[in-house]
Amino acid sequence: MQTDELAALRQEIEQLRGVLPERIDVDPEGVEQGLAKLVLTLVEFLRQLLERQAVRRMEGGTLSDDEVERMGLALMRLEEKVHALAKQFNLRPDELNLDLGPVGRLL
Amino acid sequence: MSERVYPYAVVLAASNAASINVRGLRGRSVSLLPAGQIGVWASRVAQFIPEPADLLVHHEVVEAVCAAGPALPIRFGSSFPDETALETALSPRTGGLIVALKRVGDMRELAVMLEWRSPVGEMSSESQPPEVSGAGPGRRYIAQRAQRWAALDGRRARATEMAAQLQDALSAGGVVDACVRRRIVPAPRVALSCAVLAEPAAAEDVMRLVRDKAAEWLDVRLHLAGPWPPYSFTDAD
Amino acid sequence: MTGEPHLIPGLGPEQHGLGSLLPGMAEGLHDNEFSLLELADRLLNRGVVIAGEATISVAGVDLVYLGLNVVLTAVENLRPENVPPRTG
Repeated sequence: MQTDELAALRQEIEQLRGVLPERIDVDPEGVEQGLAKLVLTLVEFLRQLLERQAVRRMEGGTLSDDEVERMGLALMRLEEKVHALAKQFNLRPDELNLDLGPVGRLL
Repeated sequence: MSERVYPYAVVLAASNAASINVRGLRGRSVSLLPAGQIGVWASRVAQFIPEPADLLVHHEVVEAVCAAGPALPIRFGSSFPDETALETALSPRTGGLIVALKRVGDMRELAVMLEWRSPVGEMSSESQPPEVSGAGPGRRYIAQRAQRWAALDGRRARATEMAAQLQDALSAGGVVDACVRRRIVPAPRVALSCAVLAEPAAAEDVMRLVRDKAAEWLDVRLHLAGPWPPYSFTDAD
Repeated sequence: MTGEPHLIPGLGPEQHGLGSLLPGMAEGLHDNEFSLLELADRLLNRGVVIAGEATISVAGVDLVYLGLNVVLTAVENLRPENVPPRTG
């Protein structure tokens, strides 16, 4: 059961990374940047949720070093992907934490 | 370029229109539009792309309106094709707006912010490199992230403690709970952000009370601003 | 996903919107900078919300705010030395 949950968590991380395209071909300025910020902020929220869960698993002490290593690599790759996309829109990683009014309150 | 209606603040319909003497966005005049039991101060302006200076103009109009009586600031940035559209958007909200107006009365908002003296991750207890000898990059990455979450949790607990103490101090000073809106934030720089509603005559005392309490906490620096219009108290809850 | 969004610090309703837009500021905040940032936060994120431009909202978020990147990312321009003097 533990292994299934772990596999599921890693799969979610990989899936999230897979959902993100390599490039988004739009004008990086203007309204598109606002939309990108919205989308990437939501993705970043999910990424942090997954990261938080992964850390809890690791701290639970029941994972092998190898399992933690693979989890960590998956998270690293996901973070790199999100940051690369943000950079395309001239967004710094910390800008993805912007309070978005009603959406912010829903989260 | 088409003109649009830019609203600044909501007031009770019986407000005195003549006492507001301030220019609005892009130098346009400001007038009171009646909307049943409420009224809304607004300007007609040619559509524009907002700039930082426009925020300050909006605020100045809101301040002038608040100086003349109970008023609820409207968030910056919304505009309407005409007065009718604005009234239509406002009318279903009338009941809640009147409740909020009556609750706010002449009270103004004080902005209380506690800034961490050390941003998150910089306290020595938070920045020791995690012990993961012989580990691969994945494990090191997770260990580092774990340390960051632990630091955030620690900050959060500390911020919660200060918020509770501040609330107690305010209660003891006569400020009811409904007049305090707070957000606990383990952001890198901000521990706690709080809005306190107070009568103008009581503002000095409340500020002194907050300063005295914050002086007990060595890990944060207090920033106080206001009294301001009641931006944080515009809903009916 | 066993989501616990309310336990994720740094995100969601407890996020201090402008508190995280300060990476460029080396030392602690000066009082007047804090005032301007808190004020801008109120003007952009508080107050009565009336959806004026119904055609440009996405997922319930008033896009006029997302489109205000020029304002949001230029909050630093609200520092006293950067605000042009008002005439009249």
